[in-house]
Amino acid sequence: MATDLHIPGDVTDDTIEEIRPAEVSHTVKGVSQRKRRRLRRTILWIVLLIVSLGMVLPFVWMFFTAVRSPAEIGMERPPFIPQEWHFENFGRALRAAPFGIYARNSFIIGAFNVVSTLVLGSAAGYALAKLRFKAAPFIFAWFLATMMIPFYATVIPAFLMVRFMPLFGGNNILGQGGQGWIDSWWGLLVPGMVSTFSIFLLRQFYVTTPSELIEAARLDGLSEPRIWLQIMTPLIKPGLLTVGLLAFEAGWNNFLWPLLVTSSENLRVIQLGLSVFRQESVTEWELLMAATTMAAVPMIVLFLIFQRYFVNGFVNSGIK
Amino acid sequence: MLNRRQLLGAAGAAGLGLAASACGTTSTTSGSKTPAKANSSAELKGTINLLTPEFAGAEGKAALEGKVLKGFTDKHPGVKFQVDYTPWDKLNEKLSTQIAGGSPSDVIMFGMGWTQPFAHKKIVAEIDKSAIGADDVVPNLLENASYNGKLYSVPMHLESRPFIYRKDLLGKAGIGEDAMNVETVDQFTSLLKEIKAKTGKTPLDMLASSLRQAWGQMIFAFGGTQFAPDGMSITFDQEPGVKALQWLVDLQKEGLSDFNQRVATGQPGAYQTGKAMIGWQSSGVWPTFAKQAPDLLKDENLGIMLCPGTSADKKVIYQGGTLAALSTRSKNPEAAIAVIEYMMSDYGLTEQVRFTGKVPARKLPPDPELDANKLAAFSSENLKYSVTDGGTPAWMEIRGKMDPVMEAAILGKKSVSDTIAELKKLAEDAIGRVK
Amino acid sequence: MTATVTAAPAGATSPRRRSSQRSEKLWGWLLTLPAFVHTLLWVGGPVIAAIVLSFTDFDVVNPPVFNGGVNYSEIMGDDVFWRALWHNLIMVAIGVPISMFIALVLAVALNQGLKGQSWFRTMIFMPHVTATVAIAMIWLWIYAPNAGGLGNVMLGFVGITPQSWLTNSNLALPAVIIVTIWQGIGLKMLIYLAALQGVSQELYEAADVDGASTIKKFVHITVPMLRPATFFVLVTSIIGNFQTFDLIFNLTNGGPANATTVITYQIYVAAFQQFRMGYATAQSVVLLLVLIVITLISRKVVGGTDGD
Repeated sequence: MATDLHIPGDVTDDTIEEIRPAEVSHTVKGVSQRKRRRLRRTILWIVLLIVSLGMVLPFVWMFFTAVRSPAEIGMERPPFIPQEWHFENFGRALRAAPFGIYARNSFIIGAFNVVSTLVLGSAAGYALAKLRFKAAPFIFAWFLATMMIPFYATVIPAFLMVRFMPLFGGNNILGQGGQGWIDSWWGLLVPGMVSTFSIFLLRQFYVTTPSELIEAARLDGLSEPRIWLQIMTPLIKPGLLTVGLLAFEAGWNNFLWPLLVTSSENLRVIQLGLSVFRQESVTEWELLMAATTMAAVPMIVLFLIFQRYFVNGFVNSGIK
Repeated sequence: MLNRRQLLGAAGAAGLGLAASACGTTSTTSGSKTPAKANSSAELKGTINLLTPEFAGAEGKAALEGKVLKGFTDKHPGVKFQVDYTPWDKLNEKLSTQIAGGSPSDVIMFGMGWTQPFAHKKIVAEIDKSAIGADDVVPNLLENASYNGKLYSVPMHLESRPFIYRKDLLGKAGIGEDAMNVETVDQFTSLLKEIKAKTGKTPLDMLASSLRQAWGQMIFAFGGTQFAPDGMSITFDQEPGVKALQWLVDLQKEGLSDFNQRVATGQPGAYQTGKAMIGWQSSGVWPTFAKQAPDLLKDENLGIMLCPGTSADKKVIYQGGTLAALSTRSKNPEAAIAVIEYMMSDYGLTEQVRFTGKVPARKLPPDPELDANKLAAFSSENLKYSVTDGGTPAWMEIRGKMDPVMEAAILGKKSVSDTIAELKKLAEDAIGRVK
Repeated sequence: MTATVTAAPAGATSPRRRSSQRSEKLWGWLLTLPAFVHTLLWVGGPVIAAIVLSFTDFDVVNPPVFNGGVNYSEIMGDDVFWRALWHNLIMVAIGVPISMFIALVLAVALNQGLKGQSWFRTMIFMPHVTATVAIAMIWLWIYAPNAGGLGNVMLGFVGITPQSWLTNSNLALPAVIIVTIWQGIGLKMLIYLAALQGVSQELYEAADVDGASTIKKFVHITVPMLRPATFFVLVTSIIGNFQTFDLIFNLTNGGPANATTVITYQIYVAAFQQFRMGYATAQSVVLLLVLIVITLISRKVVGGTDGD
């Protein structure tokens, strides 16, 4: 019953075209139609290329800035492509702060985010989408409403909860006396364990799955948790991937909260490391852009790897 | 959505929790009534938390912890440091949460203009003038670090904004070195007009900076002040304030300076690219120029001058800067004040500015490395002309709101008198709230 | 498929049926509970605290003092706040539909198995994987007022003189909107792409047999099948757009002359520049009310999903 992830080829392999069922059904049609289709696909491909290049242009600029000499950055009209390539900027940027520690911390936050979000989020998302209990619409509305208050309005109360967390960090049962979860992994990880955004997104994926499967499984005597985990959740693997990716990215790019709840360098994160290059009246652009590039690359690679799981049709092949 | 009883119940609980935590925090306020002063005979120990927007990164850490603070712990091995590096643009958030949580760092470093609000709110403690060798600091700067006549913070390193000019470009336009010797604002304005007439270019790179700071300086240049000495009433609506704003508006209107040349920090601005021949530049721009356009810093190309005032003896120079203060909630104020004192020592301050590249707030023994930054050296020589904006306990509430109002004036969307009226209302509302 | 599947099946009141309903209810609660408790504590608690604080004068240092509705009546007369709200509405009204439309078209196009689609997808998603602060830093260069700024170079190609994008009060808001569109497309495309995987291939095959055109298939199959995803994208984009802060803070600081200020920027200024937490939270509550109204409207427009 569970779907197999059927991945034709690897990331760089473009043979997907060959095995699409829709493509196959076309072979029975006339040659002229096939030609027209090929032409259309070529035009589409060119349009996509232009759009993609447009989207990526600012990053090209970022990368070029990362390897420029300071003199070029100071020019009124620098050449688009750098005349000298200073790849040592990357090394200099890395040495400017303990980026190893920062990257490790950001990675831990991101990875923890993925696990906690997928577990808590898929449970809640499934229940809200598929299980009938009276409170469901109200809880869903509550989740939606919590997304609407900006971080800056709630950060002080949230900080106080961390600071006065009872029985942690030297605090007594009333939360007094110590520093609670300040400057600890607890404060970094727990408040962001699951976002209402993820719950909402997972719920929307579960909504599109066929409820008949649940009914059938119930008739077969399967327990509710097994239906959730073994029947329904495999159907939304693209959804889980999406949420997982976004959760990791949110953790990786998080900045302000980690800054507020930590004070020691051992718990600081990668985005904070980038601010080293932006002092009050000096911005070291080439190093800032080099470090920004390096901070973005892991996320880009992660996406490049995981996007290949979005292959049309495998959900259906699973439930047929 | 939520039913009402649920909401009220939960709200009550949350409110109680917050009130409880707030009460819990106020009770820890240190009871000392006398200004903090280091006691050299006492044996110091414990951990000192230091919050600083400067010294980020590996080199900064090496300078601060490896040199400045190391010098202190060599003398007082019982003291340990926990340094919290928080960038300038997130310092407000960090401080607010720390303060709300009742545990601000023992030593807090912040910017010019923050002293009075923090002293008024009793976040920072009074410091004894003798503790920091205050006699060496010029009165103007001490005033900026004081509230109601008492010292609440210690100016350490400053960022000055002298006018700098391109001798080479001006020479080419037929304007010699002596023409730059202007004595008054009016002469300066005429000079700008002359340069514009001769070059056809926008001569001054000033409106691209913070307008709030530009106005702050020019009010003093026109012989006025922004606030009354106690900071509880405004004076910027008097003639000098109005004239100063009019002067800035006219710069834009007559094409003598252009707001639209605004660039981000570290991007080449109008002065750097030679579009403007005179710049109102921070002393902190030196390292950027040294890397991006070293020719600009050569003696034959670079001129530096103070901002002229209403008469020859009333020149001014704008100072921003970093100050250190002692938290009222510090559990170890003796050690904390000793740290501040040490940071102000010849060694401590020299090593600080060696890294930050800023202007030391008091005269230091000559050091060839520090004097290499000619903008800083110039400012260091002219500290007695220092002026800065702010000086009211409501400054935090006012300053962020000023730039948008002034931008409207510069863009010609609002008349000078309307702008002054709006700023006045803004400031008086804010002062009314802190009373 | 979307609205009908979740409707309760008819009849069925056998004892077995009833016990199954009981266990469904029980598990509904059990599965929701961990996330619900977490958000209740970490989001709900602070949100309720914020609502309480909105009726107080709270300067962060001293305990909050109840001041009734003073903050709210001040908001009524705060021109800058309403201007900020207006800017948010413009950004939503222009930015959200454009980026949603582009994202949907791109998602469909990138679900065809074209050569190199992995790379296209990644390139389009790249703006989203980068922290907004970094995005703003890059665009500071694109919008540099010099002739060398990328934006001005582009204008040069079509013969327009260099502009000072971020200090011209007519250009600054459009400049910001362009960035939000560019930045927002990737995430929306990703969600559509994931949602497309759940669309039955048989429907398309059946339509092919009927000889339906590509556009017809898009309008009659793809769009309706993606309704839950569209509802999600619309609601979260609107909410997300109203939370725009880092971009404004790093790109324009709300300027020139408040031309690009947005609500969260005003909330930030009140809370952390002015230390007026009470006023900031009151602004947040007004924002919450505005967003609730907009969400209800968009639910009507998109049709939402059952049980919303």
